[in-house]
Amino acid sequence: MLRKALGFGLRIAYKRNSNSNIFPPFYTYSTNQNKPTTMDPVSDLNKKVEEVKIEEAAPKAEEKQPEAQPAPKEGQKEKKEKKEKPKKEEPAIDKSVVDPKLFSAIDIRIAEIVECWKVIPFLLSIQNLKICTARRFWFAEKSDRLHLAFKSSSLMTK
Amino acid sequence: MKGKVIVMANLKPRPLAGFLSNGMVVCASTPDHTQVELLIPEGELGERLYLEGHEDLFAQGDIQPVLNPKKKILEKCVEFFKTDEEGFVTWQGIKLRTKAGPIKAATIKNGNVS
Repeated sequence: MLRKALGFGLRIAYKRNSNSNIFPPFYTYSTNQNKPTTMDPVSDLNKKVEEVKIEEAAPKAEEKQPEAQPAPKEGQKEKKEKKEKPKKEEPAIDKSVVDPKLFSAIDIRIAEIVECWKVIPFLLSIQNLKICTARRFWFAEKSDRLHLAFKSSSLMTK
Repeated sequence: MKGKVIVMANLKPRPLAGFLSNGMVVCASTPDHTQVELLIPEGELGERLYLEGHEDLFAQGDIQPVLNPKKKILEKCVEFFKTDEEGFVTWQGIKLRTKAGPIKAATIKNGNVS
């Protein structure tokens, strides 16, 4: 009888909540009746499954993280070392010595002065320009001879 | 004024004092630039000068028609261009010469050349 009564009660409960398509929760009351607690077996199972999944996933993630993090660091360190090593191995460039090959790029030749005249006087008042005009020249190559035209009074005084 | 001089012939042309300068006459000068002296070489016109012991480097035909000013070759080399105690023109201690002989400044010793 008890079984039938309980079964009947359950059936009524199912019928009452059949429209909602949600498994009806069973309400139990603890000693403090104002705070009902749900005893939904499906949701509990789902929660447990989720908890288990989280527990299983958590150690994996923990295991993966420590493995994953040090790997790039080591890789970076190796790269840094590789980058640093060639710098150390590079021989120090001695700026006090220049390769004669570099000097050979300058075309230094014997030429002849064929024409010379004075420059504008105010230009000679600046000493730097005077030195500069003593060094600079204009020339044109004609019939195997370098024709030069000086514009320096300092050279003319020689 | 006429005579032989030494010139740097493949510099980039640039305007100077109202005319276009295509090169430089090589002169010796005292360190304070108070005295400037022409270097008078012995040799044929148009002959290329070379450093003693480096004749192969200065073989004709390998010269650039115009030096690239960005490489600053002249600026790097000129500071080592000097006259020694006897007045011979040297570059890093190596004598500059023609086939006829080394280049020598008449009066300026231990000076700069440029």
